[in-house]
Amino acid sequence: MKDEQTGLMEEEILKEEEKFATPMQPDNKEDKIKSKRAPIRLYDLAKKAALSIKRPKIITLFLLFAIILAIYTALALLASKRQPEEITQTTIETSSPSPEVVTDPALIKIANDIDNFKLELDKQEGFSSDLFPPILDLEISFK
Amino acid sequence: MPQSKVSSIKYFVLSIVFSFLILSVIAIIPAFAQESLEKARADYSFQFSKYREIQKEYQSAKSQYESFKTATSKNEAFLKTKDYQAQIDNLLIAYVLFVNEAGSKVNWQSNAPDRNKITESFEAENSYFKDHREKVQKAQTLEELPPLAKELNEHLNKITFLKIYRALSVYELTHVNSTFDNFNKIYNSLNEYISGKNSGQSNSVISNWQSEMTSITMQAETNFVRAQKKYSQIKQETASKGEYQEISLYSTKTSQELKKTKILFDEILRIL
Repeated sequence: MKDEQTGLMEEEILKEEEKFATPMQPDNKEDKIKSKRAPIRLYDLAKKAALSIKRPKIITLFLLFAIILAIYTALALLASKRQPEEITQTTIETSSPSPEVVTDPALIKIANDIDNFKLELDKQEGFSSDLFPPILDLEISFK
Repeated sequence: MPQSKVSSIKYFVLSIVFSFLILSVIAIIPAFAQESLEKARADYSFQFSKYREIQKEYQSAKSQYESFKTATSKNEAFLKTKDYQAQIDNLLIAYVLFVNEAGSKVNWQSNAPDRNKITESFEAENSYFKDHREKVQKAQTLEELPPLAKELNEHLNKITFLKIYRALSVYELTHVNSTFDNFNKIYNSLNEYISGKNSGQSNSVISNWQSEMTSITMQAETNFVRAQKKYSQIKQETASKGEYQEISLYSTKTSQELKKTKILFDEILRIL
């Protein structure tokens, strides 16, 4: 008898658990469907919008604009990459405990001129060494 | 969509496209101008490596013909020699353009007319090489090619290379002249600043700095005057290799002296 009673109790508990569990299932399914449909809807909308433009000229102009933009960006990037690197010379500076900030505009101008002069001097190195005429074999004769 | 709206969109898009086209052209032109020297250098380097390749083919065809003396080997030798001589012309055109572009590194403010003269003389050289290349390409037999090579060799030794040496002398001297002018301006303005600041007071550090600078200036000036003297002796359109080397030597010595002032300038700026 005890076994039969315990069996009934277990069945009741299981039924109650099923009752609580069953209302949750339809909600989950709806969520899943919604999440699956969202990108499809966006794709459909985009497709419809693209197809709605029946004038090929507008599409061509848009594509042309995009291509020009891409070429312009690429060329600008290439131009910025090819800029010659500035030659920096390591100068041994004597230690000064507290460097004073130059405020005199006349002295600042002179300091800038000195910087430009130094750059000009650096350009002078090996100026025409790689400009020598090529050695050519022009002794053409046949025995 | 109404027709007027579509046409307005069309004009709007067209105007954007054209503005971007104009913008890209404006952005690209200075970049190309900056890189023209590098392009000329790269082209010369490419033509030189091509010359080396074609030279090997020419030498091989020549030795084949000299060994077998057959009609086929003679024709092969003719074709390879023709290619070789045409490539020499291509290399020389690229070289002259490269030397001309190298002049863009020089500050021509003090000597602008010489820049135009050099460009004109190089243009004349390039048209000579183009004519010579045409003559080579029109040749029909192997026997026609050696005299054309001899003619080019003579032209190079008597005219082209002498023009090149003169151009290089002008580049060196004009460049060092501009640097020396800049140095003098800076040195004078620094002296004025120092005398204004000190107003009669004597400072041994500054006096020693000034004497050091004077000594360097004198050394630089001596070398610069030597370079100028040598330059005044060269011809209007040409210079020998020796003359160029002498001008280059004195110009280099001048800039080496001026380089000594870099530390001295840093020193005086710290003191002031």
